[in-house]
Amino acid sequence: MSIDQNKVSDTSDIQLYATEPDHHDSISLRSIGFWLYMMSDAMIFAGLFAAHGVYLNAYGTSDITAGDVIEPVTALLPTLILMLSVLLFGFASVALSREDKAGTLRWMGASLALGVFFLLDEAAEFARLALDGATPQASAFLSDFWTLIWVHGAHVFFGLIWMAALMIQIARDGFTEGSVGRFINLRIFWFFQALIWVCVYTFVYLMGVS
Amino acid sequence: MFMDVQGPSNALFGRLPMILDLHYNNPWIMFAFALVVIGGIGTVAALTYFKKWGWLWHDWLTTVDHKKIGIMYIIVGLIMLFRGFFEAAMIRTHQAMAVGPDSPGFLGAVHGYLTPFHISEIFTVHGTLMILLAVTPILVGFMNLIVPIQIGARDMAYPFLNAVGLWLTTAAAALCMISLFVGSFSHAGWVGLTPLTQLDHSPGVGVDYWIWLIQISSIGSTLGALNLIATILKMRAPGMSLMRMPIFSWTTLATNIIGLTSFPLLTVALFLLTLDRYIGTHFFTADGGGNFMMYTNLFWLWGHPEVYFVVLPAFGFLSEIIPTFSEKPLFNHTSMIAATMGIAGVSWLVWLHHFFIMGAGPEVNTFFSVATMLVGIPTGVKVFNWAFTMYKGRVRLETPMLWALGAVLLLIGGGMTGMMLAIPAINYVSHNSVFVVAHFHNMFLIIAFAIFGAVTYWWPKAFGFRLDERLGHIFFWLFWAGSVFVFVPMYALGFLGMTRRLDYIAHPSWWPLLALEVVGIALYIASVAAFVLQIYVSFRDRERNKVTTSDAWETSRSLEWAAHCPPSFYNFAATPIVHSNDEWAWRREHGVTSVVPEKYTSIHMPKNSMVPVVLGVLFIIFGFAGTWRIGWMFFGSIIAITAVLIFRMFQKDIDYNIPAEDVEAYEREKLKSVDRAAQDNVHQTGEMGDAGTDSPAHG
Amino acid sequence: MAHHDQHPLDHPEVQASSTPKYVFAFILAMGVMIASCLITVVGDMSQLATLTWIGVLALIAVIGQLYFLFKLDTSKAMIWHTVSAAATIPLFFIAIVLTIWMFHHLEMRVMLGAG
Ligand code: HEM
Ligand SMILES: [Cu+2]
Repeated sequence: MSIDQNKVSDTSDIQLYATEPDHHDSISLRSIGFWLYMMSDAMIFAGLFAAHGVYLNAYGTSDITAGDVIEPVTALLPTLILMLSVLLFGFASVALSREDKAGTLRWMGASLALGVFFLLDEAAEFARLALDGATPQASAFLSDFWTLIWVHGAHVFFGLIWMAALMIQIARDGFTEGSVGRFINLRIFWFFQALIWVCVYTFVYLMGVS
Repeated sequence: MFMDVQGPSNALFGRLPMILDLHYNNPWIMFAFALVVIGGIGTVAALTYFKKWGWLWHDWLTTVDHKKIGIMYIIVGLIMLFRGFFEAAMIRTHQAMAVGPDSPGFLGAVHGYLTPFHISEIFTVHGTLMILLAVTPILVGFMNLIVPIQIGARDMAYPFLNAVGLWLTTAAAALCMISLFVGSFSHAGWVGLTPLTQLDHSPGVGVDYWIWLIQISSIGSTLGALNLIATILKMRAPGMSLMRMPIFSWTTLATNIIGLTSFPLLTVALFLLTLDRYIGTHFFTADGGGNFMMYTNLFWLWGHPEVYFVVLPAFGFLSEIIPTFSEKPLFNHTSMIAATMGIAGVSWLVWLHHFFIMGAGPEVNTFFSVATMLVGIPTGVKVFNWAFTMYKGRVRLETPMLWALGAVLLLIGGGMTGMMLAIPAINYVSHNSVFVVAHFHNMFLIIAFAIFGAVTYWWPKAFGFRLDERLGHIFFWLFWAGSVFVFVPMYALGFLGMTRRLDYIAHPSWWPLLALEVVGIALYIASVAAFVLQIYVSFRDRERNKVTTSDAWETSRSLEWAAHCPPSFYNFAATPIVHSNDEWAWRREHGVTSVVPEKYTSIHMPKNSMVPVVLGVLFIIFGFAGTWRIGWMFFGSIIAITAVLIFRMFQKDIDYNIPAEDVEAYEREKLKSVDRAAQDNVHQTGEMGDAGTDSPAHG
Repeated sequence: MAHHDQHPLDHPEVQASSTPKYVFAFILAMGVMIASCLITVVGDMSQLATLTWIGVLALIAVIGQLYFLFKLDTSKAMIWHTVSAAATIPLFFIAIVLTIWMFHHLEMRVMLGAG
């Protein structure tokens, strides 16, 4: 505990300072920071899920119930699209690890296209809800439903912007330390959307109607 | 889709036309406005006259150096702290004047001199600002300033992000200042009492200012938190295992784990409130199935961890100061680490104690009551560890130690009253009384004491000269007396049944106690004057107070005391190798205090960047547009922020190398001011030996 | 900060990419969600049993993703990722479960959630 344990009698060979310039593994450093940010982001969803657990039946005076707006079977389509987008991003990552620039860009492009498709599908779905009067203003339950889905949607949206920007960077600069580090972070971000979606699908779409 | 708002508004200017209707005849606001304008013009004039604009821009505003960022955080925090003091003085004097039906009214108030709405704004801004824009930035500033040096790193893990965090906090502080003159501030308490914060009840822009500035500062805190965690996990010098890490770095780690995971919940609470206010959702409304206790729940899910976010670094300060001035190692380093992590863990299980009276029932209240009291165990461990550190030590009552001892004493009062409040049966009668206010101010005073201790303790490290001892003592005693006079009567008033946030006191018999509190405030104001004077005098006499060795207190223990005072911009010329918990004390014991490495090598450093400042400005625009509901400007600023981030992503020229020769030349220059004799003298003062009987500090 | 002799693509987190693992994670997640969907829509279990099953299934999918997508393990490259996830997950559940628990009790006592 105290200093005495480390007492050295011969002080002549104590090394006080490193003699080599220090090396930091910048990709690892970036990735842990971004991962920590994802932990923080996960807590955003924790707050939203906690609220969701309380608003499950909070319809107020509205007669629109969860059963009217949630269709688990139809929701399997956006689910499939998002999971596929993530899978294709995984393929981009495999291509990257083989130093295959064209392949990386191709798979990223495909993943991006599916991501856009996912957002459009969601938008169409919610536009239909709004037309049926199931707006976020109708009841606390609907406020919560819209918010949860679209907070996830906003993540996907900004992820897509990031993906497009990174594709340009990789196309221009190739695999530099910077672009590869960003790719790893985007991979974390994109995979994370799949993970959150599993929770959203289970706790919003399934639990809502069970 | 958007809510209809009261008063004039249009697409181009949002609700801004409303300010034409506001009352600018309030002398208080005019006074503050004059103060800010004169201060601003004075600063601009001075900068221009001394031709310091370039210096300010290149050396400070665009810097990514963790030490300068830390200092700027502390400056922003101190400015806000003094604004907060001012508001406290207004609340206290107003309450002392507004006692009983016969008390006179001034300036449009029926009693006292502040209208009910105005005093509500004042206590709201006081709480919000003190916690989020004063104490938090000061603590984060110290973490920035000290932690990298203490763990032997060159800089933070992400220097650029660090600057972004600073400028987001500054943007929030700027919005808080803007709200003083343009529009109004929230009147719903720092906790944002729902449904008072709903648009029906608070149709003005005050609540919106409050929301956006908190959101912006939370993003900053989150970025800061992940940066510090990554720095501590990844950048420690060779030999510094986690178990060898000094306690201040440990408390920084624990605090930022709390911050990283709890701030998002505040973000959620305020985001949902924003949706209620802007598009008319029903999260916290009484109608539409909403539940306003849900807001309270989400708020305190962040709020309680946040109080430990601010207290843990203060405990860290005490753990550095007490061993230095007891000339002994900290008692049981390992249990201190365990206690720190224990407090952080338990802080997540207690938040319902802020709303026991919600009435969730005996099971729920019991659970949270017991969990709350469990915090006492690790806290007790800490207190005993500090006491045992002093036991049989050679205690020197220099200024930092005085502050530290004051803080430990205060911890007893604050902890005990906390325990009382944690008993639901007591809480049902004391909730929302000024007893609670006295409790948490008692706890916050620990932090304030620890902060002033830390300012004195690390000042020589940051600036190369010590603060004046005599004025430091005067500052301490005035501040201590002020605390006693304000908060002891407040505890008593709490027992008498005085509720918090009153604009009028119906009970004339409470007047003497309220008057005593005003005496306390006067002492506080005197103490602030002593502080300002202390800094001025110390700066004037900086040559005389100069420290000539790396170890300003001669008995310091951790690694930051192996760096120059002030440290070179790259911290250590060569990365130190760590051998012990108390590396510097260990080196002193072994007589190996040389600050000259065997060999100089090249150093890799990040370049300055103006992007963080630009982001800060964009975030001010974002918050302002959000508050005043100026749609185009709001979405425009989001697009601009995204564009700036993408621009940054494509920037290539972001770092550079300092060749070994340059490092050597720079170090030689630095070493000229180091007193070699003093440095040698430090060598010989053995740890347990006849330590420094001849050292000037004992005089 | 840059400068090391290693090529960025040799980094362990890059080299951790693996087609079979990604495909497996995909199949696992889709399989789990389809199974949960079937349980909910056509199954005739009690509500509690349904909730328990879909909860367990979701947990399996999430753990599978953490392992096969994020490659969380105790290797030198990933240890701190794993530790931070292990520290956050309990907080995630504390926030959700205790909130639901306290509001459940509140609603029982004030008959709020009856609607
Ligand atoms: C020994 C540890 C502590 C215990 C047992 C404790 C307990 C409590 C309890 C039960 C309350 C709720 C009172 C009520 O509203 O009826 C409370 C309020 C409060 N405590 Fe503590 N506390 C402790 C430490 C702290 C610390 C370290 C801080 C901050 C640095 C703090 C800050 C606060 C604040 C801000 C409130 C008031 C919230 C409000 O109503 O606005 N407490 N404390
Ligand atoms: Cu609390």
